[in-house]
Amino acid sequence: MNVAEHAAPPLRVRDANSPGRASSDLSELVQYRHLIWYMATSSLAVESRGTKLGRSWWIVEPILLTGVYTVLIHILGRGVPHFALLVLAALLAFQFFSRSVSRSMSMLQLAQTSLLHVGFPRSVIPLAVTISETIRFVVSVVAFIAIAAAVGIPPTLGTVIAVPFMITEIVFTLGASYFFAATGVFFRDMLKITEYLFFILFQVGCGMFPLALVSAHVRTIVLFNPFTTFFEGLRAPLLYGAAPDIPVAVVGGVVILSILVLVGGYRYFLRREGSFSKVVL
Amino acid sequence: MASDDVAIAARGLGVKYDLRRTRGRTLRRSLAAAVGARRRTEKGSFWALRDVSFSIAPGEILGVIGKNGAGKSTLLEVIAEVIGPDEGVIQVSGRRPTLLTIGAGFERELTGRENIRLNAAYLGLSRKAIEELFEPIEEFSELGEFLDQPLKTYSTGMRARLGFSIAVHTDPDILLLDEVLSVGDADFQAKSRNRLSEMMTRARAIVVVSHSSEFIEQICTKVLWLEKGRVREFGEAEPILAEYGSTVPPTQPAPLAGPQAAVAPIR
Repeated sequence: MNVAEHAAPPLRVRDANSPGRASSDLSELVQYRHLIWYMATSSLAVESRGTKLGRSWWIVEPILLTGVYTVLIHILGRGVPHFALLVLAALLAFQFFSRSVSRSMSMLQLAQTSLLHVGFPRSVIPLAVTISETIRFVVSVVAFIAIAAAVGIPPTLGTVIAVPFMITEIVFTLGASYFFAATGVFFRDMLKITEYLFFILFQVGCGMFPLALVSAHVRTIVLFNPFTTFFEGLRAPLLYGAAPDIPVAVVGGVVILSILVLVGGYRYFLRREGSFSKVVL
Repeated sequence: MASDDVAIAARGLGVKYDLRRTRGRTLRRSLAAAVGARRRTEKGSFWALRDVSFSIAPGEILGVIGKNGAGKSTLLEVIAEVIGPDEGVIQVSGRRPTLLTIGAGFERELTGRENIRLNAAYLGLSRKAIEELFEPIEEFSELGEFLDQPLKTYSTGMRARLGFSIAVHTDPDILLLDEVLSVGDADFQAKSRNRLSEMMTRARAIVVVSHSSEFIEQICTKVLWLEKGRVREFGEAEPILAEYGSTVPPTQPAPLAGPQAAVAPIR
C-alpha cells in the first residue's frame, strides 16, 4: 500500500546546531493566526463564563477600583485633584503587563500537560495571551475615559497621544511574556518571584503617585524605570489631553528598549521551545 | 529548499533528557544543586534517541518497531516538532506533521464544539477549513447534542470519539500514528480503521508506531527497528519483521481496548 504521490513541497529542517530559527517561526505564526486569535478569544470567553455580569466585568472593574481609591484617598486626605484616576490609569497599564506575563507563564506550564503531544508552535501561547490582555486593556481604557468624562474630564484630541505609549507597552509586554514564559518552564519559582518583582516596579515607577510629585533628585532614577513612561504616557493624555512631562530621550530609550525586549525575548523563547515538552511536572 | 525524493530524513538524530532540567527547577532544587546535594540523589541524563539515521521517500509508509522504551514515541515527537533534537538533523517535507495521539489538546471548560475548533486550530487550519470540518466530525463522532456541553461532562469514551474524529478529518502532509488504532469500542474501532485507510491514500508519508507486527506488515513499505534508542535495522519491511519476530514472542493484533483504556486522562 502506497500513499499518493504529490508535488514536492519545501523541506522543514530542524537542526540541533541551530535551534529556534526566527524567520521560519514568524512565517508559521502567520499560518497559525487562526489558532492565535482563537486562543485569545476563547480564554476571554472562559474567564467570563458562569459569571452574572460576563464581559461587563471589564467595565465594572475599573469603576469599582475608582470608587475604592476615591474613598481611600478621601480618608488619606491627598490634596491632588483626581488622585484616584491618576492611580487607576497606572493600575490599568500595570495590570495589563503583569496579567500578560503571569498568564503566559502559567498557560505554558499547563500546556506541558495538556498539549504534550500536540505539535504546534509554542510561540503562539504568549502571543495569544498578550492579544487577549490587550483587548481587556483597550476596553478598560475606554471605560476609564468614560469615567473621567463622568467626573468632568471629557476626552480631547490630545487623548490619542496615549495610543503610541500603549503600543510601546504592548511591544515591551510581549517580549517580557516570551522571556518569562520560557524561563518559568525550567524554573518554577519564577511565577512567584515575578509577582513581587512587578509589584516593586509598580511602586517605584510612579504607580501610586504622579511623576510631578517626585522630587528632582529622585526623578532621574524613577525615569529609568520604563513603567514610569508607560504610566505617565497613559495618565497625561487621558486626564490632561497632553503629552507626559518626560524627556524625549527617555521616551525614545523606552521605545528602543521595548523593541530589544521583544526581539531578545522572542529569540530566547525559540531557542528553548524544543525542550519544553521534556520537562516532567 | 524542495525535494522530490525525501519525505522524512534523519541524520545522526539524538534526543537527550537531562534529569536536572526535566524535573522542573525550583528554588529549593537550585539551592540543593548549588551545595551538591542533588548530585547524590539524581542521575545526570540519558539519551532517548542516539545516532538515528534513516530516510523515506514520498509515498512510503514507515513502521517503527521496538520494545517499550526503545524510543519510538520520542522519534514521533521529534518528527512532529513537539521536542527538538539535541544532536543531528531532521528534515520533513511539507507542513508541520500531524501526530495522532488521542486525548491530547482538550480543554475541560470548553464545549465539544469549541474543542473541535481549538484542536483543528492546533493543526494550523484556517477558520474556513475548520467550519467545513464540523459536519463530518459531528457525524463521525456521533456525539449529537453533547457537542454543546463542556468537555468536563464527557465520559472517557466520549472524549476518545471526539479526539479521534477531529484527528482523522484533517488532511496532513505527514501523518504520525502512535498506537492510535486501539481506540474505542469494536464498532468505532472498525470505523476508525476505515477512515485511516482513506487518509493513507492522501498523505505524503505516514509513520506508524505499533506493537502489532501484523498491522505493520500489512501497510508499511519500510520498517525502522529501534533498540535502546538506536537503530538496529532499517529497510524493507518483510525481512526486518521476520528477524524482529524471532526476538520477541508472537504478537497478536491489539485487543479491543475499552474506551477507559483509550484515552489519557485530561487534567
